Amino acid sequence: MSLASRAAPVGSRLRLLLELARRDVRSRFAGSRFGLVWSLLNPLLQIVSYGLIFGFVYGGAGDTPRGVFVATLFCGLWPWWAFQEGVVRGMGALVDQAALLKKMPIPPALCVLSQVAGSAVLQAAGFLVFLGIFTVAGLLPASGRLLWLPFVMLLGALLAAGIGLVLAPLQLVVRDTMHLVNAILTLLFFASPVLYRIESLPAALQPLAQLNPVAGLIGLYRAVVLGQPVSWLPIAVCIAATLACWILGLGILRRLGAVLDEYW
Amino acid sequence: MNAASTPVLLARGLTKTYRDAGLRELVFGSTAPLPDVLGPAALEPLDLEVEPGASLGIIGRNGAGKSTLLRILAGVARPSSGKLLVRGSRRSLLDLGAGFFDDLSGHDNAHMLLGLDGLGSARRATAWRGILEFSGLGRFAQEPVRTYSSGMRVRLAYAMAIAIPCDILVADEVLAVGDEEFQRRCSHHVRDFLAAGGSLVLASHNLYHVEKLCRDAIWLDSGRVRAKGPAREVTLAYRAAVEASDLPPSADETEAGNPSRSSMSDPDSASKPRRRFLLRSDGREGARLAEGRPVDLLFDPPAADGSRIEILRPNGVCVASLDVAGRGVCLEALPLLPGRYRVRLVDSTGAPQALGGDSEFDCVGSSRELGTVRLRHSWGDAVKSA
Repeated sequence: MSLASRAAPVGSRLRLLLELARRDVRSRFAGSRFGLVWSLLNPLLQIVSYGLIFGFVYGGAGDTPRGVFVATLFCGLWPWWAFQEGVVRGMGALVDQAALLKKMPIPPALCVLSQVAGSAVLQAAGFLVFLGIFTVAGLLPASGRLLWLPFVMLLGALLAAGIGLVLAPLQLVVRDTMHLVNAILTLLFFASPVLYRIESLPAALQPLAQLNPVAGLIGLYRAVVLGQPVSWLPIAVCIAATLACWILGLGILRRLGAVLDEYW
Repeated sequence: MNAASTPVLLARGLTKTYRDAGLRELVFGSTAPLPDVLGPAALEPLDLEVEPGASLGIIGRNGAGKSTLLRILAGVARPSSGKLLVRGSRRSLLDLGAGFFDDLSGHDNAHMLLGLDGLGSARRATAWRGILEFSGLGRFAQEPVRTYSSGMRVRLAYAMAIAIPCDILVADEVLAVGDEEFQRRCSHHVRDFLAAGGSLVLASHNLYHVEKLCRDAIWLDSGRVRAKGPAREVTLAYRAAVEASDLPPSADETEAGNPSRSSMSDPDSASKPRRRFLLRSDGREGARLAEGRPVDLLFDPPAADGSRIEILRPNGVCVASLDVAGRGVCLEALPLLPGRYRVRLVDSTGAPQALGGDSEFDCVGSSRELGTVRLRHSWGDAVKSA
């Protein structure tokens, strides 16, 4: 009996997670005619803008062809956007889904995970579209390494989800959380090797920069897509941070379970 | 049928305390009751059990803890302490119409919410046919929900909530939704559901619904169980208390909670002997008078000429006012409906008599009619001449 009663909830929870994620994706495009197009247009404009500024104005491209430079930028920018959106959506999940939580007994953790999953799926789709375009245009190398991409994307989603699990109950109780986190994310964007490589930093700063979990994530993307050498410390930090956030976040939700429902 | 004795819902010592879980609590993770973060208890230790096919009404004033209890029973909130055992599937009719996406059609919204209930696409299609029929949405089913009237939203939500068979239905005031025709359909559905062995927990301000649909009831007052038992008895007690609290503040309000106390024991009357009432039902003395039975309303000392005896509702509305002389009146058959009443003596102008004195009594009986007075009647379209 204990086996059956344990196995069934896992299956049904997974189904619930999928349904919630699907619902999240649908809700974001509800009433919009060109939903997916819009979610691609904005990143395109940003990539082109960054490419123009760094490639032409600052001459950051050096002797790399400009198209390749833009594709390289994309390899840092897109993982960052996916991470940032995952964190923000996860953080707001319990507030956003209050109407549903009030009505149905949904585990709050699933609520958070589903929003991160929904955003991860959309971001992955967008990434693949651009990756395809850049590869076909010959700006990025096609390689068997790309088979690792799903795992890299999964790690990114898991990191964002872990942080979301920690922040969602905080945001539910103290709405200032969002503002603080947005400010931190802005700082983190520039502190992470999105627009540069860790190796370009002053030597004194490099060990510090390697402790940034996002650095590990972006390093993995660059290793898989661009074939850059892998630096293992940031990746280990990324995995450790992911695990730590999940344990902390699930612990908070478990511990505060009977207090949080006051807020929905 | 033997399983009927095993409750589908069993709660022991349920409590709920709302506290403003400040940042501190989150940071330090303390769920221990810190005196300064602990709010008033929304629910004090509460036991209840609901058997298969049984129905439990929850009544009480606003803020008494009804919704808190329902939320816990529905599983959307967790008790601060205590145990809740649920056997079987439960569905809730809480916050009807919440969780819809305005830009999606009723059909799409329903399919997504049914998906959250774990229905595969085949069962979803079946459920949708039932929803369409019960809600009567017709062609609006494919329109965005934002174009719906509030009644249509609720009809859709209700139809969705009942589309999937379940063992326990937890409902909040939802039988009072939609137009009369839809309400009737809901009532029918609930009755069929109960007859088929389902269990219902219903919180409502509509005592009529509670009396008609629920076998048992709980009366919550500031998070405490004030009364618990057969629905009719609990609603009677609740009605009496509500009516009593409608009284303008006066000396005799302090007696409202105590049915058997007569004014004799009023400490103010120490100097003067006050009039004493003696109530008898079927020859037995007491403050509980049986509906439809012979009743004597006697008092001592005797009333002056021109006095009247009044029977009042606790809120002061006069039910009857009779001339009396001597020591009292006898009624052949008490024509009142169950509830709490007051009797008092007034003089011919209607002013309470110098000796004052009044008494309260409960009319008890099993009548399920509503109102104050029992009218003898027969059914038909023409009055039969005697």
